[in-house]
Amino acid sequence: MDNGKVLEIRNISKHFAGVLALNDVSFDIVKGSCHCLIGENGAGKSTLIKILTGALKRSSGEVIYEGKPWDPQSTREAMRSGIGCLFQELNVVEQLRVEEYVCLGLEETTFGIIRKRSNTKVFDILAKIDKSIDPKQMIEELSVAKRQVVEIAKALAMDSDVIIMDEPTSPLSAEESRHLFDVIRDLKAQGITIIYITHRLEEVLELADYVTVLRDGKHIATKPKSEIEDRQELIRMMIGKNIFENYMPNTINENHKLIEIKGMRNRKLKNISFDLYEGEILGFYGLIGAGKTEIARAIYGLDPFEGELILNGKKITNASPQKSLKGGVALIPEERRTQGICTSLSIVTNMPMMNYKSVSKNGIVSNIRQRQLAKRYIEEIDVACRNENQTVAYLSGGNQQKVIIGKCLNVCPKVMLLDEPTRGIDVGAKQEIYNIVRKLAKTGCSTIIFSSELAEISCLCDRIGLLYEGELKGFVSNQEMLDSQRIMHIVTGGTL
Amino acid sequence: MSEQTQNTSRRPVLKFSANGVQNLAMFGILVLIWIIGSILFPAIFNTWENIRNILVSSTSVIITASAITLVLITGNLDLSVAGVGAMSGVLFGLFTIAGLPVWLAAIAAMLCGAVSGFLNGFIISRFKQPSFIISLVFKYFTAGIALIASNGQSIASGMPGNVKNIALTISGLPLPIVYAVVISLIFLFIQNNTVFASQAYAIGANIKTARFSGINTVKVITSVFTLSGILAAFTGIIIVSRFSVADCSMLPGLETDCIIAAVLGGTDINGGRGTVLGMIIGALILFTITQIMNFLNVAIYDQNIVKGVVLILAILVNDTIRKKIKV
Repeated sequence: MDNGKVLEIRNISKHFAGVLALNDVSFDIVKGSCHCLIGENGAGKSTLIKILTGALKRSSGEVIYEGKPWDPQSTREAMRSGIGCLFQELNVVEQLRVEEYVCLGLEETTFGIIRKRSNTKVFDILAKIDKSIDPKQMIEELSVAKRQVVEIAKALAMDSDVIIMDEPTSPLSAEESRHLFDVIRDLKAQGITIIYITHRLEEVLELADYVTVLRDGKHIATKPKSEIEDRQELIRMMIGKNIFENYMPNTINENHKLIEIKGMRNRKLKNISFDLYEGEILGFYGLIGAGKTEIARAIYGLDPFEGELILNGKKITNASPQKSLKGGVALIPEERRTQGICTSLSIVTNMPMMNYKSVSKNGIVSNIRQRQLAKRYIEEIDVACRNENQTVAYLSGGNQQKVIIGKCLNVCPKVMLLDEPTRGIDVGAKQEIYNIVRKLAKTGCSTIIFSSELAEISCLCDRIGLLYEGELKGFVSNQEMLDSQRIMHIVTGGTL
Repeated sequence: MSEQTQNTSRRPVLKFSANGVQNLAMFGILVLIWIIGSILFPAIFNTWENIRNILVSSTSVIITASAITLVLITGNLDLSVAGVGAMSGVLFGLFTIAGLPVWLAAIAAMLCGAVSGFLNGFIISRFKQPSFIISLVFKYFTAGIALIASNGQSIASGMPGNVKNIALTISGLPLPIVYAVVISLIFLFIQNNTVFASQAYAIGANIKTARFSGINTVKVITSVFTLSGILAAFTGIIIVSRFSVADCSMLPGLETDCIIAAVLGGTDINGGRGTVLGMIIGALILFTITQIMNFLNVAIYDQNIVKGVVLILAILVNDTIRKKIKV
């Protein structure tokens, strides 16, 4: 073992059906450090992680793990040898107790019967990282944040010395993220190496000891954090071009209210009232569970509510997605893969889904028009794909989101509801999505953005509604300087 | 995840869709089985009589599975078709005995099938119940009606002679084959060219997304089950007409045969994928094998084992093909 390197990645390449996902990537990971891996979607981060954890076979190159060549045949083997991974979507088995889950696959058994003693180790590990989790609790009772802690405990129970975390904070609130960072620092102090993948550059600046940037499957740079100037430098390395994130006011027609909501109440919402003007981009900001998604769902007709919803001057009763779409309201849902698109279908079949009238006549679909439609949106919003027949599952997250946007644009919407439109999407695609929204506003289409990223809201929205536990605490205008401290104060329960 | 597109020098993607490749592969297997049959029984296998027999025996499955394929595409199962077919067949027989003209009796019996399919689909979609259980319940429900209506006995006497008209052979061509061709053409069109089918695919691929996209899932699912009920009823009527006998167990294993045919043809049992053309090829494979087994004097019970093996192999082959061609 030389100079405390735990992992040495040497000339790794990976081909996928003719596409080079990783191109001759080499860098080292220092023992006991937090090594951040950043890059746009499709840059090759996930592929690299999958190779390290044995989920994928590399095409060429080698990995040296603690001085020995490393070639795991399965994630199971990787975990047993000390490389644990928190995947983006947690695969926690919900119907188990915490202790049972952590020991899953590790049970000390006699003739297949679990010995009680094996659990004591888990008690110790859990107590070390989070005392508030009771090993007897059912997993399903835990929040996402706590489930992650359980996953970390599982990795530790397997005596991992490298833990890979793939976007662990994307489902977490700010406070929960903070707690996770504490856990990470603690792990580092114990000499455990963390490989941390994220889109949130603030986290990189806060956590990283080393940063590796990947772009288009190539290794761009690996730098210790002390050599990194600022956020802009990271962004430059990631996308190779400069981006701007400044708010630009939209031309709002205050005489025309597209949506009026009066006293909207349901299980999660308490007396929400607001108006949306033509051409306006309205934002709703709040922490997880503040009621953002619930407002979007209620307006779109997915959840019942009491109170009045007036769309374009007409009162809507018994709202449903069908009615909303007819009235020109389209929703980009929170969950991309499970609510937004059919991943097993092609771009062509996904595109007209919200408005089959655009490609059919008397219920008969024109395959030519369907293809033209897909091609038009692929070009218009720049979906990176092989061709329009490509299955959506093989697109990157950002491009999947663009397909959903295309679906919505095909409705010719007057109001777009965007629920966490850029969650888990890389910086470049984010910017493109922002530009699409801005362009839409210019054509008179109003937008409501529901987001837990203040940066996103503040660069796009004219007015920002602040939510806390289902209550609309008030609006701030983006025309004046935003006081992010005050906003945080309000959305965490402080008074206006 | 490889999704970069700057690689422009890639050779052109092959023109076949995943379904096209699958259908071609299955057609190859059908030809192969046919050649085996021709080698084993050179004297009789390629005669019109044999071909006609295979076609006629596959009509029940082709007709019913035209709709079943759509049901499977929505991600549902319809296990009720054997019961619905028997119920409609028995009722058809009783209606004609009661003096209804044959055509009216047929329409009335098909309406009964439609009602059963409608209720089946409505309960499944409106109350979000698993189709496996609900359609199984409807199988027993409809089989029960058949049993009660027929008093548990075969209805053979009393039906007017012109009941046979529905399944006549006109200048050597049995009408059931004509029905199967017409119906499968109609469903080929529906599957390829209608908004209805597009919505069915969307529902099968991801019902939540379909709902979020404003697709009326209750309407689409209820419709595919209603179609399945109507065609199952029609199948029952054809059988009664062919044999001039109606009884409560006249379509044994129709639901499994339909599912086998569809899955052989590349339909995904989990929904979102499948073609009527593939199902037809699948049905022909199934009945060509059956015919060869008949010639080899394989007992009917042993044939079931072969069918089971064929289904498992088909699922594995389809899965392999699908993984190989990532479009």
